Amino acid sequence: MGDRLIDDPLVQSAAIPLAVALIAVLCMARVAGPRVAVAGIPLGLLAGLVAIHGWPSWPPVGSTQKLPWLVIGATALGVAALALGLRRSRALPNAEGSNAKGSSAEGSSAAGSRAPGSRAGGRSASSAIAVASAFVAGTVWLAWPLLRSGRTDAFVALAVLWLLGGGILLLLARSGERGIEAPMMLLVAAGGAAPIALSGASASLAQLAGALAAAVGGFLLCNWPALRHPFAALGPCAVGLPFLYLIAMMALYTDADPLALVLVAGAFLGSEAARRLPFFAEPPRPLVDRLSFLGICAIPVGLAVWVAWLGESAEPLY
Amino acid sequence: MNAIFGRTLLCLMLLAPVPASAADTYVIDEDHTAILFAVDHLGFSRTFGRFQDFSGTFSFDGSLGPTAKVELVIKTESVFTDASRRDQHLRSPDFFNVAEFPEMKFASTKVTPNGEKGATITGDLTLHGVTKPVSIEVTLNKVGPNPRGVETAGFSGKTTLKRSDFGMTYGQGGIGDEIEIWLEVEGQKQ
Repeated sequence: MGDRLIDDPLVQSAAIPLAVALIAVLCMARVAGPRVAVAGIPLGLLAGLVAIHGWPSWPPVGSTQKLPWLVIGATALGVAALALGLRRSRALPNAEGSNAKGSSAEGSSAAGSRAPGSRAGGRSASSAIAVASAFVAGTVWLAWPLLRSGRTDAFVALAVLWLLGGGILLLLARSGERGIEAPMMLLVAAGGAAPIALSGASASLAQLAGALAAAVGGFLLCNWPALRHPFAALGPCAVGLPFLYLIAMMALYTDADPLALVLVAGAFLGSEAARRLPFFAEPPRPLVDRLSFLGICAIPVGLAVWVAWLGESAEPLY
Repeated sequence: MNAIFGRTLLCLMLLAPVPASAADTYVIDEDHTAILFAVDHLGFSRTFGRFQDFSGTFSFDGSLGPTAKVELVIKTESVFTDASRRDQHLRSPDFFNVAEFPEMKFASTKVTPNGEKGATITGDLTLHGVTKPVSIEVTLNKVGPNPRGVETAGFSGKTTLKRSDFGMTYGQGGIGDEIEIWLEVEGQKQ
């Protein structure tokens, strides 16, 4: 009975990642502080990975086996950068103290990342370089068998990935400073990537994208109705990078429509679009604003899913 | 007299049937070779499939002895189960990941005779980037000239392996881990 339950794709890619992320976010916030709590999302994704593919093997021989190690590496990098940043900057406001006050958490986090002075600027730059390097190195590792065999399409795919991925990481970092928008954009993008992966004939990548969306959902549930755990400090690295690695897998190794994968990136323009719309003017209406924001992000993602399935036959995977 | 005797002897030698010499090499005939597999589907039935693009050689001295050798390269892209969406799925990273692992290879390391026409061929199978030893039970069906006079040898073989041993772990709840493989091989002597 237990085996059958864990073999259910919905349990693997929705229930387990959501439950693990929810519990991990709450536990980490209590044990290590609210800034680290976002690491519960990659933990939820890893739980989904284990449920879908079994325990990670070392050394990994295929790109699918590299995924859990890339998720672990991205999380470790994010936590290390955060720890180093916190240790070095005693002059910055204590975010953890103010995080308990709800939505002010992101404001203090933003203050941390925008702190004046060369030390803060240098730290921010070195953190960005570390995330960018991890992104490039991770995607090259994933694509290595294709690059080694001189596949031109792989080089092109990587170049487009780096351009789009750089923009997504930048938008995530910027919108992360403005509260709950970054995880909401990731929720929509990962949720949209799942049917695109399925159209490209990879059910496991569809499940993993679903698992990431579910884990982000767990994080968002922990932040309802008020934001308690900032996303900005750790999120772009620990959550943004795993999302991009999944997209890289789809672009390199599946039949997923490349245009659909590019269109998914449109979800990350949601934050910029919302800032320009009068609808989101003060005073804030939490539920209406959040649902409307999800709707804005869903427009390019819906288009992406439509494009992906346009070229596919109506028959299911099999 | 000696010259006549010599010519006669030469003619007799040329006309006489030539037994297979040590380590004759045969090239696998794709048109008359089948590499088939079956896997459990949700416990309801077995799904059958085959690989359509492969090449290889085997060498033996007319009987399956320790000197025999087999080498086979299969293009994973050519997997065929008579359902296009399923074949597309089998080619994806969930299973063969043909973009990353375009070939699977088998190279024999040991042949142990088993009865008059049988043998166990042990060798290294490289699949999905993992190399593991696999044993194939084979029967030598026939060696001799085909209707066009080309020296031909034919074998039947069977083995079973676990796909999880080769890092192919997806969907084991519904799709069986154990893969049955049948080989019907014809090769023509070079």
